[in-house]
Amino acid sequence: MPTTSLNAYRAWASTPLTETPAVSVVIPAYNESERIVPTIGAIATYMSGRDEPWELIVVDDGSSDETVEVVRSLGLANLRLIESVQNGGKGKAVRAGMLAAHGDVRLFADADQSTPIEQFEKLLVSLRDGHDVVVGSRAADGSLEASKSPLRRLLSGGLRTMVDVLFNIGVRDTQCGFKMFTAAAAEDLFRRQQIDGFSFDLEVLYLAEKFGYRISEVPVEWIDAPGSTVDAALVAFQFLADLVKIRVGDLRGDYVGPSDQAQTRIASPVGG
Amino acid sequence: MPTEESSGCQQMSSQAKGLHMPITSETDGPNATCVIDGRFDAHETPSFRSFVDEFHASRPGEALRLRVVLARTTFIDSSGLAELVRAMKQLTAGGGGGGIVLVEPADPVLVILELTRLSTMFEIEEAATLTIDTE
Repeated sequence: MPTTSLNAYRAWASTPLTETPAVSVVIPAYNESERIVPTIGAIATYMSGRDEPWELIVVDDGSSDETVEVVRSLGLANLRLIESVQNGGKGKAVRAGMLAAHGDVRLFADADQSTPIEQFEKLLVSLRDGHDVVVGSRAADGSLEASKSPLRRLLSGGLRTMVDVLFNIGVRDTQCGFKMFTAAAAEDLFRRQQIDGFSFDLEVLYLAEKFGYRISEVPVEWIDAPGSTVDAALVAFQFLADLVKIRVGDLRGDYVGPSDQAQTRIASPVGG
Repeated sequence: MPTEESSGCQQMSSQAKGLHMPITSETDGPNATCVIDGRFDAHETPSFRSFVDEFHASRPGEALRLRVVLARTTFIDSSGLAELVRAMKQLTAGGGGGGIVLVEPADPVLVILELTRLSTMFEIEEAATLTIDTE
């Protein structure tokens, strides 16, 4: 990356935007005080170097460590911190960030930089090709996975099969924490989204298919970042329970109707 | 004679090599150079630590200088930062001019060092062509 990205970063870090951001990047964070700053640094440098106005939104999900203090102390002019006093789940945090965002393009990315921000352009190309939802994928042809533990390989393989069988969603990797939306798709889908936990990705993609959004899956690099705050086995169990919940909710009619009405059915968003 | 070695990639699958680049190192008496390409995270820190420990033990009592080239480092996480701090403490402990220099850190690395307030702790040798706003 040319040195201009460093100067662009310094301008972004010190001067509040005067225009609407073209891009919003949302990072959900739960007890990420050790990992969040390098991730913010990498994302801010890269995104600033793209020469488009952009904003960064960090949504703290009720961390019990010093995540909030650490992020606040950075004093970055175009970073918004959304706080919650309680741990509500990744789905709730991402929803809050995506609905608070102002960008025409909205990306959410995990706090561990497991999908490097340099993959952003690949997704953007697909969005600009006319897709509404672009999914970073570790399963699509051309993806690269590094250092994934055997347990996580087994769990993710099993879950992919379950999703194939039960949902018939065209997306092979529903759970990669690197997804891009148009503003319109994000506003609609995240108002309808009801699951607060890790299965929210699946729910959002299910809804995207149900309501006719154009979805694409783009291969990305992915590195199993050490120090994950996630219990993979527990998440897998919860995921299976949520599969049933989504199906039952759909049959019950939870997702029909305008999305602005759907918003009133979900739990209150993370406060800021 | 300088010796060169490549480490940090042996345990990766061939598929993963595109993501985890090798750490290459070279020693020449009391001076050493280590080049870190790609990500410097907990997957790479063991090989870096091994090299630093071996280098440190190779010339007891001497002031040792380590240059860590970060020009093609795309990301450094908290474990990588901690490893650099450890190396600095190890090499400066003996005094006499020993220490560590971070050479031409790539933009994201420089920003991460600044945000973590570690940029003032390290001697940083920036590329001659860099023109950086210092406000």
